[in-house]
Amino acid sequence: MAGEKHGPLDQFTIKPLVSIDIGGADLSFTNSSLAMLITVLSVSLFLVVGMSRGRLVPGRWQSMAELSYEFVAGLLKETVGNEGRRYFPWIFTLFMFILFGNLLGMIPSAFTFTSHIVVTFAMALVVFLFVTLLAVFKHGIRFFSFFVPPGAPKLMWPLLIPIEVISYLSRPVSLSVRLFANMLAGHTLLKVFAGFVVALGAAGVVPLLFIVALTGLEILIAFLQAYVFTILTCLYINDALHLH
Amino acid sequence: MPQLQQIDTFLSQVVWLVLAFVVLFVVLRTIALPKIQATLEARRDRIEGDLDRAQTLRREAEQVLAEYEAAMAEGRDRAQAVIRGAVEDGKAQAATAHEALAGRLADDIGRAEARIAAARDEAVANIRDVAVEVVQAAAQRLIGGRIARKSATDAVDAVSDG
Repeated sequence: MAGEKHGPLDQFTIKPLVSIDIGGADLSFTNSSLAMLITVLSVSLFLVVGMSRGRLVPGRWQSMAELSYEFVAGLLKETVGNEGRRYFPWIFTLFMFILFGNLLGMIPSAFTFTSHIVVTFAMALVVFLFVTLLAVFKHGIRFFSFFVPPGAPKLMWPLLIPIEVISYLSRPVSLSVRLFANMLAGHTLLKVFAGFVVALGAAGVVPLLFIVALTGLEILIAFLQAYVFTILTCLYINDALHLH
Repeated sequence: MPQLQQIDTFLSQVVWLVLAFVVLFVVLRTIALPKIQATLEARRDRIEGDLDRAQTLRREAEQVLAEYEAAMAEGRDRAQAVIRGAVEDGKAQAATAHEALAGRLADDIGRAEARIAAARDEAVANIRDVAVEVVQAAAQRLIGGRIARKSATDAVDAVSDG
């Protein structure tokens, strides 16, 4: 925030808070790390404190905690089926981490770590590698039949197989860019219109109202993108388990 | 765009991301998820137990209802039998009472008729005596002398047709 020129993109600047240097590698604790830490704490508190009483008839907080659990469990069951249960803790952690990262980023002047391509790409790459290894270990050489569309004539294979391979390899890119671009665009737009509020003086009420509406939309998108990232991960796991 | 310019922060971001994610995973895996699962399972068990109990109670209630209806039907039958018996008793009693009354009335009527007949006979007999005396008195006035009671009686008997 405290930049010199306050451009709409300055909010994404990484600022080291505690400099850490291990063997020449810069592992500084930054505002992004702080946001991740706060996310971890928030998710943990939300679930652990919410469930601490574990009552038979849940209160509001406990209901929300249970709801998040049942939401992800239902998602996994619908897309992967019962085989997906062993991946549930990972999927649930992924969903809650992205969701809280997105939502906490909506707090004014908070940092949104999901608006950085390197973070989303790292997550997408881990998902991609995990899913690919899962498929290779489960199906061995048959995994490569995944790139042959079922029922396609042999004549079309030279054309179709490269397309399938490219679309498979582009999964981590599309998965990461979708989340990153949504967060980037939303936060940039909010900042641009916030600039208008100041610049227009009394007429700034109009962009202010727009910001209010946009904030609501962004909260929806924060949820939606966490959902999309999770459901795509589930679908990839399903592909890995069942091929086609 | 800082996302593509601050390449020197990439390593730090990824390392902290991995750290944060793993810590969150461990916390959820060891504390939060077992708790949620246990709570949900306890609730499901409890609901199923309640449903079972409700089913048992329902069956019991149905049995009790059937027993109650049987008892009611039996009671109704018995009541009907009692009523029927009472009505027949009443009818029999009424019939005997009626007969007794009728017998007594017939006796009374018979006695009364006998009394009436006796009274008439007596009256008729008295009239004969009076008639004989009238004949004697009339004969005395007409002929100036008494006639024997016997001839007067004969005369009366002769004119009266008994």
